[in-house]
Amino acid sequence: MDDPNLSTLSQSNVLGTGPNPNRRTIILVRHGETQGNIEGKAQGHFDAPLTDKGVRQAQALAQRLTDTEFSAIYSSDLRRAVHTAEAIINNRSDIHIQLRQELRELHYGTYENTPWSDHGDEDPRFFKRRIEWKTRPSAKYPGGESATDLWQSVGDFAHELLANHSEKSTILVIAHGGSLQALLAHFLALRITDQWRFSFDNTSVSIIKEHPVAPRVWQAKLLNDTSHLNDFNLHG
Amino acid sequence: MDNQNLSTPELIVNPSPRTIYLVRHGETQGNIDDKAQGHLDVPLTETGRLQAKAVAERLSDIEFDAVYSSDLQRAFDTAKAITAHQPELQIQTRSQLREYHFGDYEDMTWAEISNTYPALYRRWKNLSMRLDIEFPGGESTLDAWERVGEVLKEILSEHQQGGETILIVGHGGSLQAVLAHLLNLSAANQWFFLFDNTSVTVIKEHPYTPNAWRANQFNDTSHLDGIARIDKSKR
Repeated sequence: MDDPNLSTLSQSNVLGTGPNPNRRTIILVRHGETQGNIEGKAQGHFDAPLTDKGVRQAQALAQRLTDTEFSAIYSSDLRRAVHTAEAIINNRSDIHIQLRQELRELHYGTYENTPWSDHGDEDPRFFKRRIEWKTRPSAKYPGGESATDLWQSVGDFAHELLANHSEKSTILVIAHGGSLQALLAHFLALRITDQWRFSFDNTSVSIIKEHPVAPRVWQAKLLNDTSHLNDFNLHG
Repeated sequence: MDNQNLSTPELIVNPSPRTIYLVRHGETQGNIDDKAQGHLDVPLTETGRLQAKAVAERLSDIEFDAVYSSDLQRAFDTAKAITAHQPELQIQTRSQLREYHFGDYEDMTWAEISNTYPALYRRWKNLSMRLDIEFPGGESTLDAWERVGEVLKEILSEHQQGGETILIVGHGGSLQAVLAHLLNLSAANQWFFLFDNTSVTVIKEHPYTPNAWRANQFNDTSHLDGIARIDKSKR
């Protein structure tokens, strides 16, 4: 039986015969700040807007990406992601945002919109920590999803994305901390239990590129870059 | 809810996580010419020195508690530039942080290698076969993986107080191994992470789990805006 926790995407054993003319680039962006981010709340499918600071972060990001041409823009359909995406396409009439539910954050069930500290044993972040670091991806949040659930929906999205864009292209994906971790791990052929090792801050930019000679082998070029926030003192 | 899957781990709070900065050396002539340059000890180019200055400027607010560098001059000179603002700090050189020893292939361009030794080149380019390579007269990629792991273990054991900020200056290959070791990735995963000249990568210890590390930032070269850089991705 297929292991649901394996990436089926990246094929590190595929060797190209020469330069790959259809080499693709994917830019991963996390949404801007929300009130829940500030307060340390579990915020999954809970649909919070950006804070004022989050809006300014999105504008600084938009400025940074002004000269980048995108072949397509995909976003989670939750407001904090959509608003971030809208700031980026502000002056682009030629492109629209494609919304995808699969890019949502993990569904935290009954923990949604409650502080992580409410669910601790001794340590305020105990519950979240044991999900992350005990590496038990099939553990579901009460009434919500497991890491494996998200892993699979993000994997479905990644397959769709690659099928839709088989030629040289630059694709922007706007999503959440959890869904971006899963997406990165899929592309880099990491284990599901490795994904927690990578942080994504608000409006951070990460770039992954297809290998120059081997199609469907992906390499990280930049992770979690927030240098566009430096001049505005907008760091979280 | 599947309670069996949530069995309680031992709780450890880590009040002062450590931070590790990884910086790759600046540009060399061999980088420009796309050569296999491992233990071959070459200097930085003029651009390489400018890059080192730029990364030094960028990191000038950071007080490092310790600095480790490969003993090859392209790394050591980069480390020296970065620590200029902390003259009291001694750079600790470690030969285990060197690049792969490419043996007979040292100082050859990868194009020459691909013409002369097509079988080896094919294995090098195929990331799933790379782990089996032993460079004639040099070392195997697994040897390099292990020696980097050993020196990393030594470095971490020397800094157990908590809260330390440590700089490691190395090479593309040795930093890939450092990153993968810290993040507990498999050896075959290391090549998915490309380090550009003088790029800055920040790895932090998890605040609630000692000895578990997370990538906070990877391969940032924003300090090089306006300075020539080689786009490795074009290869």
